[in-house]
Amino acid sequence: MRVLVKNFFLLGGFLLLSACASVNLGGGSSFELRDYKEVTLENGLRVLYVSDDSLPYVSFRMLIGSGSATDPATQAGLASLTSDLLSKGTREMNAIQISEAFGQYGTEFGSMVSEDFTVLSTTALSFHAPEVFKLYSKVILKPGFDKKEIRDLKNQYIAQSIKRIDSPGYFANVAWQNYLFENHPYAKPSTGTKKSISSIRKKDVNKFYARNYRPNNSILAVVGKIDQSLKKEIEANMGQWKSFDSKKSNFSAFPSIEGRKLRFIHKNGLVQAQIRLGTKGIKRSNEDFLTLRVANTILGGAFSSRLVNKIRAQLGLTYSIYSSFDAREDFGPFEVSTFTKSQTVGKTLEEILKLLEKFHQEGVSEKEISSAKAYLKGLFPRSIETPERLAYNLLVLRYYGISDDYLNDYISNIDKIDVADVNRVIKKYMNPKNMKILVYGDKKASLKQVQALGPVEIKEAGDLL
Amino acid sequence: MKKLYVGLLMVFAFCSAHAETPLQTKLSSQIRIPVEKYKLDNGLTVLLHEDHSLPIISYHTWFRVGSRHERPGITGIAHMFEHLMFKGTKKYPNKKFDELLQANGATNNAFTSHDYTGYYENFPSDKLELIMDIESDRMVNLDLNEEMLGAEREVVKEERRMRVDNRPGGVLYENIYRTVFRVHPYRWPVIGWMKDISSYKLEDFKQWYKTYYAPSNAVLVIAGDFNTSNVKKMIQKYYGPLKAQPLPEQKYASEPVQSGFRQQVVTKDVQAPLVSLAYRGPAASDKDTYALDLLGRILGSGTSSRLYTRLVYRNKKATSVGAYNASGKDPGVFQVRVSLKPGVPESQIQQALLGEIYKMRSTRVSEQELQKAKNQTMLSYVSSMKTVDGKANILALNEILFGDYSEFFKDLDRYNQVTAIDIQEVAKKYLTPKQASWVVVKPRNVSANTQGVQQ
Repeated sequence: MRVLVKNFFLLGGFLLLSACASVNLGGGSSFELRDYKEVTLENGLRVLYVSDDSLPYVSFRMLIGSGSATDPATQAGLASLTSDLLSKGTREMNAIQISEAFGQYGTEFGSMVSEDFTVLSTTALSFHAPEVFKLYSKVILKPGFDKKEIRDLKNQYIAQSIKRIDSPGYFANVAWQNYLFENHPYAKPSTGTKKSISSIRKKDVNKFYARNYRPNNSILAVVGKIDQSLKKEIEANMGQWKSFDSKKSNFSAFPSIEGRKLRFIHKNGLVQAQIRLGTKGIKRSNEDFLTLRVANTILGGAFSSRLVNKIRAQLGLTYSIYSSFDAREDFGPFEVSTFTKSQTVGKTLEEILKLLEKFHQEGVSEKEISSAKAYLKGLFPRSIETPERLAYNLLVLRYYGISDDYLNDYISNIDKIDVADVNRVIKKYMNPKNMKILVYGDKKASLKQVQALGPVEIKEAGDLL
Repeated sequence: MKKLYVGLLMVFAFCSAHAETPLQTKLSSQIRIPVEKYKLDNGLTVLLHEDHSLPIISYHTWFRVGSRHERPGITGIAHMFEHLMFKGTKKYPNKKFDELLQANGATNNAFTSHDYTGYYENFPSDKLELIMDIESDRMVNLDLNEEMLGAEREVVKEERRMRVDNRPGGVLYENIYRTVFRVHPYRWPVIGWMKDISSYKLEDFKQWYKTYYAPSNAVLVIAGDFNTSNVKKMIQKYYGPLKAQPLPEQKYASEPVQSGFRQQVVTKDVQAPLVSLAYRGPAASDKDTYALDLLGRILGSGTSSRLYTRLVYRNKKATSVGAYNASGKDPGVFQVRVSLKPGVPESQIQQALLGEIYKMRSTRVSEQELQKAKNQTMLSYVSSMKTVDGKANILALNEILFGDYSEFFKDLDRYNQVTAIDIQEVAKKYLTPKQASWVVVKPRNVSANTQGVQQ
């Protein structure tokens, strides 16, 4: 593979959507967004239907509007553990029976927890859809939360948190969130730590489930070959789910960053160091969201961006580098992510900082902007190419309370962005003066290079489990 | 597994269902898509799939060259050459290439495997002619010079550190192949040995390009929003003038039959052991792949598989398991992999794995397990067809591996016909004690962090 790219389609940020509007792509081509329907049940559950008869499948995906940021302060991992426990037992079936039942249809029950929300999904061949839906709804609505299953899964989580050390990129991501966000809810690893997982009890899981797994906190998307009887079954079944109003607590403030702060995490034997640097980014509701997307494409969001050109193509310091704004319900990070051999950590950091400084001071050219806009417009149809991608975008837009016009007007809104807009947001959001820098590597080979940039706080990888 | 998806090193995939029922027969016809195939006079194979659902096109150019064409001393050159294909020609010089693609809303990438090297672009459909101009140009006019080698060599070394040297799973993978193969080119990693990456000469790349990059050694697949008759004219205009080039006769050392159990243990700074039990499997074109693919699914695919329920769920010795048959142009590798919990020594797992393999040889799998594996396969075939890029990818892969893209559409029926007896037969044929390799990446010492995790 020539390059590692972030998956644009799954970023909370890259969303587009709408019902049957014609979108003009420029250059004479336009297309109709796929049709979809939305129903709200009496208990508050919203159900989206996106029909697709081109292939024989049906997929179910439910967004629960609570993620790892909802974990109590001392119980990081609770949201994730709860979602993984759903398929470990209902009131009538044990874990093996559930796996077998899904497995028999060639499928699995999947759960994914992000900072802001949880997604529960499964896919089936269309001729198995009614049976698979029954299982899917049973697992979500009637979990058993058996004591033994909770204990086993906790042990599994603890083992995995230790093994995280061996995946340098993943470990650095977790350590970076922790460093950047300090005491903010986004700081905690979504799968918890040894200590936080150990402290979780059955009653905590029950309580988390009772508060968050509610129809009025959820949206279900059904995609594929959907017939009337399946729809009826879905609405009757899900209609029995009881609503409950629980208040979400407010986010604490984003920790302030004054000047440049450095942290080094050591592990023996690493031949390549992971590097993360960045600062406070934006909320998903920010009006400058799209303009920042254009700015970021120029900086490090595409293969011919400035960071890739300089750090990879010209200097050969890395195989992959990118920058991003991860826009969330609360402020997410603006960050640069890369890796390099132990011997060139200092040089890489120096070059990135120089480049960020210049970017912030001088802004960008007309030519760069028109290229970035064309690139983003070119990606657009593929971000909604499959009905499942469209449905995922619809779910996430609804979660963040953003209108489907975001999709309808995506192309025309990109077209409106000009040099002055982009340079304004660069000045406002992309200042490299106040930044945190994290390096995960072997200190024998790299620490001195980092210390050349300022005082460094040093930790052992094992401290962060 | 069989012919579905492409990674750096290989191809994963799966498939199908039991006694032929109307539903499943229908499925195999439902995933069939219309394709026009023809050859230019210069030997270029062309596959066209017209689909106007969205104004986008997926454009794939695959060459029948991979790491199997290398020799010791220049291992990994197929892959680094792939990187150089983005460095430009006289007409579209360095940097212009990526800039131009971006400015036209195109995304692009490439990959290298044992058997092939593929390049692709996805873009708005009104940009087709530009992309065709760029692709046909770099097929023969690449500007290879000393200057471009320096930085790119470093990029490739970083890629190797990221994929292998800094990653226990990569180390395991590399050691499986060099243990199972003693002489065949699958023995060395697609990315190459570090010392070879450091020493390729410009002349090696020039020779590689001249030998393997020609229309007669390529498959062009275009899928998406275009008019077939117009595109055929366009293809003639851009690719027609290119010259055919005969390939040199190439003989591959064939791997002798393994005569005894092999073992390879590597020590690293890791938190817990990774282990693999591996066997030489069949080539992708061998009918045995269907049964062996399903056997792999029954052993290790999903949370209801035999290995998961035993090692992760019941014994609690592992955090993850996998079993799959990776087959290529030549006989590949069937492997079982287990990632152990910190504190569990690898010796505790060897008997369990050998026992599971023994069961496959001695007892027939249940009808229910077989049907499950077939259903998983069907679902994965359907999933692979959801995007135009996915379709183009599958057409190119099957055309390269089998010389006939339509093999893909026959797979579901073939998986469907596999019986429990077939599965036992392939287990007896390939998964024998003498043909096994035991490969381990284990911790240097027990770290303090692993205390108290054991059950």
